[in-house]
Amino acid sequence: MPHSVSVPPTGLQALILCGPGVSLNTFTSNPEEYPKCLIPVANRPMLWYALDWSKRMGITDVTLVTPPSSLAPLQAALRQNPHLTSLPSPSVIAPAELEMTTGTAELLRLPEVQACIKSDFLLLPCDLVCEIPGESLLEAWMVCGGEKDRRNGLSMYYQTQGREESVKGEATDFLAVAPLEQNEAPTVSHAAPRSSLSKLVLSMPMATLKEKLENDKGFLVRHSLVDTHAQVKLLTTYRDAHIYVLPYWVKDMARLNEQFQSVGEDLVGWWAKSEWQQGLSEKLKINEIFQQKSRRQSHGLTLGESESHDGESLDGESLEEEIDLQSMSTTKSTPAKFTSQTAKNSKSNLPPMLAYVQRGTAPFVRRVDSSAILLSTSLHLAKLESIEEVGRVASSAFAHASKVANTASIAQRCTVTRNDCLVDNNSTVEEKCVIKETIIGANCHIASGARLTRCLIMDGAVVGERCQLTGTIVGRRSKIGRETVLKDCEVQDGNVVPDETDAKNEKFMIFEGLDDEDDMNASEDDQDY
Amino acid sequence: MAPKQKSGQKPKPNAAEEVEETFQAVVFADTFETRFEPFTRDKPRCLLPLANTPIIEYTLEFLANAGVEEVFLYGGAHSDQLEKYINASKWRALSSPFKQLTFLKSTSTSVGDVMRDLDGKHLITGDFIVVSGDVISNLPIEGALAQHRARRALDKNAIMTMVLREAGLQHRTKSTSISPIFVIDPTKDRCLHYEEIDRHADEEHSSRLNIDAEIILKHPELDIRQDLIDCSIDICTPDVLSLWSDSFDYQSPRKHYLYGVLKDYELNGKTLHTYIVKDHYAARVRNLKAYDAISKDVLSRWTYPLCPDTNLLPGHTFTLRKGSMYQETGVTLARSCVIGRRTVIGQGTSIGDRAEVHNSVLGRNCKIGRNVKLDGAYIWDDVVIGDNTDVRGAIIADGVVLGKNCAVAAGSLLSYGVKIADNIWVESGKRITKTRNDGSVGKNDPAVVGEGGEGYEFIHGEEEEDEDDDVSVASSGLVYRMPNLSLSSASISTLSSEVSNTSWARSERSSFSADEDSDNFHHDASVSLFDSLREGVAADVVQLELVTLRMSANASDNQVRRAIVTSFMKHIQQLMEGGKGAGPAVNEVFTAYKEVIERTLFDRSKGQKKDQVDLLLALQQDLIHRNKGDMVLLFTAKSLYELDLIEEEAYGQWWNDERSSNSEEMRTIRNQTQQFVDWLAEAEEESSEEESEEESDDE
Repeated sequence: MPHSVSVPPTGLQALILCGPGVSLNTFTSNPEEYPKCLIPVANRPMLWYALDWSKRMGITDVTLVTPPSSLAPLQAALRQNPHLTSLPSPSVIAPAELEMTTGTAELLRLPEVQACIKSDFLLLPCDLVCEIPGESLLEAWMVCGGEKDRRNGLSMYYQTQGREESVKGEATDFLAVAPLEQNEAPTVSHAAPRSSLSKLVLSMPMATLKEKLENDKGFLVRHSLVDTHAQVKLLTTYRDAHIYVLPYWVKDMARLNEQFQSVGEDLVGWWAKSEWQQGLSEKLKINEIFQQKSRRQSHGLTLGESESHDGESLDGESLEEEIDLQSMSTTKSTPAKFTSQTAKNSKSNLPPMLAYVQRGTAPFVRRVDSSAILLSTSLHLAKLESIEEVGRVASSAFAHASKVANTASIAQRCTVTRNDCLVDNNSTVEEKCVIKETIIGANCHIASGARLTRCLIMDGAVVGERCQLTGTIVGRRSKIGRETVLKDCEVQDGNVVPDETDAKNEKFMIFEGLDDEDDMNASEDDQDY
Repeated sequence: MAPKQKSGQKPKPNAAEEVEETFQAVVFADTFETRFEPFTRDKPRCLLPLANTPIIEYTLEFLANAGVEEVFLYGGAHSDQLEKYINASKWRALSSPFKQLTFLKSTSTSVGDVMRDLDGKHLITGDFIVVSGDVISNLPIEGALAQHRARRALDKNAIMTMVLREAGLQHRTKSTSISPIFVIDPTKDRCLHYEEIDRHADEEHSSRLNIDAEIILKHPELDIRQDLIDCSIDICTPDVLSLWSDSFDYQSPRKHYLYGVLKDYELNGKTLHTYIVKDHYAARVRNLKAYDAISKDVLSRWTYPLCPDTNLLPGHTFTLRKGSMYQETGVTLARSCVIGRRTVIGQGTSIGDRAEVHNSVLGRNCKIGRNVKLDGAYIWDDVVIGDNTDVRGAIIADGVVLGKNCAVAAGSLLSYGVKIADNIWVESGKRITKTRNDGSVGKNDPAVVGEGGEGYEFIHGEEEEDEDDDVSVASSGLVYRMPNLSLSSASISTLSSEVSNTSWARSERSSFSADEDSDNFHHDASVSLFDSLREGVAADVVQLELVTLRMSANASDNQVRRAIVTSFMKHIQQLMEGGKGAGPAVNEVFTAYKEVIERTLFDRSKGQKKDQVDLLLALQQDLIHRNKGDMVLLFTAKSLYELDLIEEEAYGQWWNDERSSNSEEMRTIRNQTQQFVDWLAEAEEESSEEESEEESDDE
């Protein structure tokens, strides 16, 4: 693969949550066989993007967390899928109590997951496609990292509106951020992310906000928020990327707060709030964690480093023991440290939750959690110039080796617009086809005279003669009968669409008591994986 | 006043806009506040010297720099003095940058009245700028103006641009008592919501801002800003005036007008915008604390070119020396005196041997004796300070004579012509004046100024004939007086917390004594009630009106009671000034409007008389600042009892309620009523009746 740059170890570990994917239910109807994280995005399994991203930022300790029911297909894919095998293989844990509907914060409380967290960690969803180089994000976090043992957290948000690939009705989150104070902001700002760092003070999904607005008859802002932060920015069109850089102590916070359901809404949301709301950090038992920690630390020091247990001296941690990045920085003025300390003492001594808010549309960041986004993201990625065309260095990290795989056979007299199409291995396209802005997976067969525009055809699908498909996603091994006209449809895996069907905005699914499961899952929101 | 004047007959602004229009400005010389008492008893606020130059000079200079050609100056209190000053100033000279400077007198009692008056006069032809006569700024207005005009060209409804200065969370020119909160859409610079956080609000006020759901959902990006200094420089279109006229109850430009217009966006469709300045200086001398802060800024040249050595006034000859020392020619300094950094010394001033002057401003023709120590003092013209006297952090007005061996502690104010005898120690925060509210000279108080001294201690609102002469006190009564009440509970805590930041205890006190804290309902209701009482409208009509107001504002019972108390007490006060005794006045009003009060009390049958206690507390608080408040309270208590409005138990509960005795003022005001409550408790009628008769004889 490209970009095999050697990076020094970051001392972080990554947890990738591979959940069921409720919102993509057309293609994940059977997570025991085919979990969400294996759905192809531009002909690569979704999981590849998250794994590749962690690899590029230099995180080698990657753990996948998956429900036991999806363990088998996931492991099989890790062994067999050519894309996944090309990356260093991650470890997989499948906690016994993890179900399809478990919230992400509940997941962190599970003993298996608790045991697996040994240092500061990065929490990633499996549906992430992120072009922002992870290392600059980490760098920003480290520079503003806070003191040892009370590091800050970092979460990332991206703009959902005003882009060409924007999707109608895309879920958004509500967030409020305050600028970093002058002595907190990193003084070097050559990398883009650092300049857009701010403090997160409120965060919740828009749905929750709307409920709140309804109940409170307006948006209520506590005075203590404006007293603490003179300038608060409210943003409503951004989306939480669910990339969280979390310090080690959050493991305890997640364990102690049984009321937390999801990381995004509860853990991060409450943490952000407790920075300015008095007495909240007490309630969240954060103070308790820090006190214990310092006690244990002093204890550990007297007994010698080797005796301190519970992961404190394990890999990542021992590295950090010696390096205090903040004190090494020459660009940071020293008095700043004193003021920030005194300021902190007067407050609750709580490290802030930082937010990286990505303004503008580039670079590309997206969570692929609905069919529409799946399609738009895939099409966007298909437009990237391939390595074949521009060479390894100039191409994007997500570029394919070539737009049309060497083993694919495309008949002479047909049109495939190469700059926005992808055709994978062993697929055949017959004569007189017109294929525009379309992604065709491996082993597909497009019969003669078919017209495909803005489509996503997954592996092994067959499209009949003279079909006209527009904006349609065709699942794996499904078959579209001849002379079918589909517009903005979704065809489930293995489904057969009869000949000469004419449909618009439809989902072709098999009914097999799916609805029950749907309802159950639908009651949870898309925070669950 | 021209309420409800429609904007129909206005000269067409559109036509004028295309032609070269004259740039007009409106200056409020009086902001209808009492924050500079006792100085404002003798002089209008805008003529008080700041770094030896009257404040109005800075404002006019700012306007001249902004390219204003026509100025309308609205006088308030002491407008004759202001007119005289302006007529003699360089602004009237041929070389004046203004083509026209019109001095307007009005009987206005609020900014709202001035604006409505202005609308009625049809003087404004195009975009104009509104400033209060205490703005000090070196900001070039072009940027804001260009932005305003560009926006206006695109959208007729963008009627106003407010110039706001960005400052940090803490800034010395920021007001400490009220923080304005602006909610702004940064992409369009549009102000969407405005709210003030009152630091001294009582518990009842919610500790949350309330932003409309619409605003949140319709705007992808919003900034909640608490770090903006509102220097009240507004660029307006004539539409602004017609909106003022449409809402005849708006009084203050921010709390009422801005808040109201934003709230009614659906109705009026007008948008208000902001222009946020990051550099340059802009501030308002809104209170004594700001006076101190801005003086320091002027001396440290933040306001350049508006510094003493620019010599804004003809005849000034200041030059700058090393260490921010400004001196005029003709200063006599003893050889052994020490002049420190950041000092201003005016012409004809002499400083004696071994005197030390630091961080201070000295006016003209002052005589500073030997061994005097001045630090952080603002000494105006013609002041004499005797030997060995020590002045720290105080303001000493024109013509004050300080004896030998005196000490004036931080936060004291000595008003015009006060004389302090030898060996007197003036306590911190003391305000000493000679002039009474009506302009006559008050009785000297030897306990304060010493044997042979002149002046007495000024306590806010202590005068008997507390009316009319000083418009700023009387007129603003309804709107601005209520908040004074909260002073009692909040003053202690804020003082102690803020003294650590600054030694200027007095400035805090002065700044919140005139807080603007009345919600719309309270204002509307009390005004309407007061008017009805004065005109003698029948009780049932008054009741109906009150209910309507209450429904429309969804006001709580407590608010209703407060409004009633304010208006009733004001009316009683008026009756008393008209020559009526306190007893009959109280009796008359309460008998006539018995049912209005009756309808606000719902706890007749209950053991805990919450409502009745609340009413009594409101009364007590209101009366703190009224003439003979203690007496009125006694009569009111009695009258309420006789009318069967308030029951015996309620009096007991009120008396024992700690809120009724948690501050000095509250205790003082209820002293007189002690006897009545005791009498109730003992139910001995005769003795108390005698006493109360004695009281009424006292008047």
